[in-house]
Amino acid sequence: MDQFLIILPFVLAGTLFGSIVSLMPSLHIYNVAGFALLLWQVIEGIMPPEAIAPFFMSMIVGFSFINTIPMTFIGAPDESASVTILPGTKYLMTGRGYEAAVLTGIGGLGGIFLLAALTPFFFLVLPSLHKIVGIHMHWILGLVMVYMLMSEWPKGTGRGETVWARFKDAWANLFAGILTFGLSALLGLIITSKSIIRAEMGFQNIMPVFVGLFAVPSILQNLLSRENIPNQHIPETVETDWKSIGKAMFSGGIGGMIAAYLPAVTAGIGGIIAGHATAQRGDRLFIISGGVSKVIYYVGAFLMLFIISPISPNGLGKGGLNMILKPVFSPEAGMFPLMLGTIFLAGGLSFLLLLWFGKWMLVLLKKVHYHILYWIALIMILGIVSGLTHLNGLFVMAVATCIGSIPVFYHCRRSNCMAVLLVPIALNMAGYGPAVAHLLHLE
Amino acid sequence: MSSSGNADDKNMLTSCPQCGRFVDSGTEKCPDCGSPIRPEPEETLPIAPLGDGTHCPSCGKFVGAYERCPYCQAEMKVRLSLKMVRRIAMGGALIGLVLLWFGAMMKQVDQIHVGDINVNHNMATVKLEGRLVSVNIQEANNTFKLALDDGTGRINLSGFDKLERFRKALGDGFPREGDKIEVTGQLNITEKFGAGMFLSSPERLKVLERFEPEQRMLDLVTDEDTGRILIVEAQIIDIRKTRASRNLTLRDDSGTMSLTVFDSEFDGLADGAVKSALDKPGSIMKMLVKVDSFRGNLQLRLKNPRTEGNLEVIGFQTVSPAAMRREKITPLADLAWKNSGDFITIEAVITKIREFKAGRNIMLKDDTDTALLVVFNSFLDSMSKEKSDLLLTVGQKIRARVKVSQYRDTMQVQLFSEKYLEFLEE
Repeated sequence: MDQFLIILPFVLAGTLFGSIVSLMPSLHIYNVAGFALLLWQVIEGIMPPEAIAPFFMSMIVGFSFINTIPMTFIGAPDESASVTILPGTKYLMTGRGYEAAVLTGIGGLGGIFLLAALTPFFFLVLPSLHKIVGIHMHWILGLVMVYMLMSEWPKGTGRGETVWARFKDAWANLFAGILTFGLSALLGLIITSKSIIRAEMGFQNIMPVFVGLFAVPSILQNLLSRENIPNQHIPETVETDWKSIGKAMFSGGIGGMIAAYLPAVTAGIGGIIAGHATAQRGDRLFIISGGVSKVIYYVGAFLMLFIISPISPNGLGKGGLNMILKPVFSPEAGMFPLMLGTIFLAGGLSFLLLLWFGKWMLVLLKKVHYHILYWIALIMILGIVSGLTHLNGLFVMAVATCIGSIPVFYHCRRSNCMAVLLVPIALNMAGYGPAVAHLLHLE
Repeated sequence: MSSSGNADDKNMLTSCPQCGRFVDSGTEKCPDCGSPIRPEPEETLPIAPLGDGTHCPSCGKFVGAYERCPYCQAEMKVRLSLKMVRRIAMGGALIGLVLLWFGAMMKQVDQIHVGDINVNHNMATVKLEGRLVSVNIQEANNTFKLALDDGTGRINLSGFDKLERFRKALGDGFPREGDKIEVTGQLNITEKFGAGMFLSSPERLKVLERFEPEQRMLDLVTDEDTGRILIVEAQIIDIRKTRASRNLTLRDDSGTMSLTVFDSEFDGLADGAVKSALDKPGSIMKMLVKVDSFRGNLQLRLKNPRTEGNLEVIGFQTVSPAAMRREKITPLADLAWKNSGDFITIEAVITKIREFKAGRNIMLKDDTDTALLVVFNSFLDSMSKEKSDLLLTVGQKIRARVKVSQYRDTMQVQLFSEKYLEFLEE
């Protein structure tokens, strides 16, 4: 009981911190983890060791729920929501933005229940599966990359008055997608081989890249937009049923699990694969499954760190989030139930905060034009990047912004930007990373 | 039916606009009424400037910020800002990436000290410089691990599944313990294992200063050499087996010193000749050793005995007490200046014998001073009766190779082998 009382305030604090931070538009989980690490250095003496992991877990849960709000209301998604942004925007433009946010939240709750239900799978099947699959991960990532590119191909025959116009119409965004993929891959190879960010901020090497690829282009796109957000209605009920929720949980669960397990694969990419695999249709299903996928991706990836078994003595966690937080704590056997309890508590609280923050955001948007919010967000992002990584980081961010703007303004998938991590990780796993770095004269 | 207006579609029919007769589309004049047959104009797509809203005013469907409606192809009046942004994005991406690449190539990797590493350095690519304090090779896993000490701290460098690659690239330049190296890599900091670095490429590891161990005479090895790696060339004059090790007494022209070889080290030796020599008094060997200290006494330990070249058999010579006669006799007065653990040869007369529970305290006297010789019952029991009786005879003169030891601030000597005890005539 004593331990519960020690941990509880930090779970609540983590949920609140994650929720507040995620209100900033287009912030990625890597950036949030970086802020958390900086915060931890300040509160290190205050936080007892047993509360560190629950604090970070509740922060991630809060983030996975509340980042729905900027994503839906001001069209500012991170990469994980790139598949669902259009349905959410459609709801927003018909005055049903709040309903879209609530549906996403319902999906998030479904994701939490799925994580609990998958516990036997995590401990009995996943470690053995990882032992078999782990050494072939580079092949799997290669297949994911091929699928990402090929699934955008072809897009109809195109229309136009001339042959060139028809060709351009049919292939422009496809080539833009391939170009985005290639440029992102090069950017990732440069940053991972020999970053120009100063060593003292090594843990935020990737931050300017992600901010530039995802956050800033979204902000620019919305600043250039002259759309006005119509009046939003706050309903007492939402239009859904258990069957839809079940279908969405199935599809979102697959996408989220793929993203949680495979390195450098995010919920956006997982969502594409799952959406095709389950032939998902309908905006409502997309939105709910997006919520499921997001929670399973963010929370599940961190939860896997605590799957400690004889086959996986160091856990199965992967990804930048775990790498950033590894210096702070080490998972121990037996912590999984504590983490699951934290997820349930933080998830319920986050859903309630989503409802409240959603209404608050609507009130704010009535008083303040969303362009102003975007300008504030842009200034804050520039301030954070320059404060942490100085001019070098700003330059990297600028280059990444240009690359990230290609899919936004040429209407191809933003998931192609994930080549920034997919390609370097796959090459390193295959053993070719150093050879490529040598080829680029980055050794 | 209507012509698509495509000149290649010659077999298609069209109707005369005047009389309605069906004629080939390629026909210029109607054969009936003579009116010119004009091809129907192509369907032109409506070009209507759209507003800035998200719904197409032509078909009313939701399209977002597209230039052309994907449903009805109504073309949106493209704003200058959008075109400019596209061009800036494309150009900026290409030029920026090239500049970033050049910048990365030109950038010097930050060099830091191990002692300055903190959690913020996690995943940073840095350069470290220092000496290797250990080299651990795991052939079975194709892995090697190095420990680097730069004077401010120690860090582990790991080459998982990279041993073969590094050996192939570096050859004889593969780092050894004691080498001064410079290494570039990505820091990996965990709460469990602390700071470490993964070595991915042989090109990022440079040996700045090769460690060449010094060859030293045994008598010149002092306490200040503790931890140092040296080469010694000596004869094994005595081997005493304990439960888990062998204590070898080495001797060269300057003196003697103890070498401890644990059973695990001995059993791991692949070379049969070396193994056999190590187990045989009289073997003369050249060895790479590390100076160690045990309970205040200096001793030697084999350094990487499995590595080829670190243990070499030079020859064999039977150990005899006669050889001891050629050794320098140490006056008992010099005992105070000797270090505990040193081996000396003395010549003295037994003046007094006092029995204690575990053995005998034998007082010795030479022309310079007196000294205490401690002989335990176990040693006496291992001797022949004749020799033990002589040793316990007051007035007997002895010459012996003894080990200096210290007990409660008193220097004393101990016999370590019956072979190095001679009874002289008065």
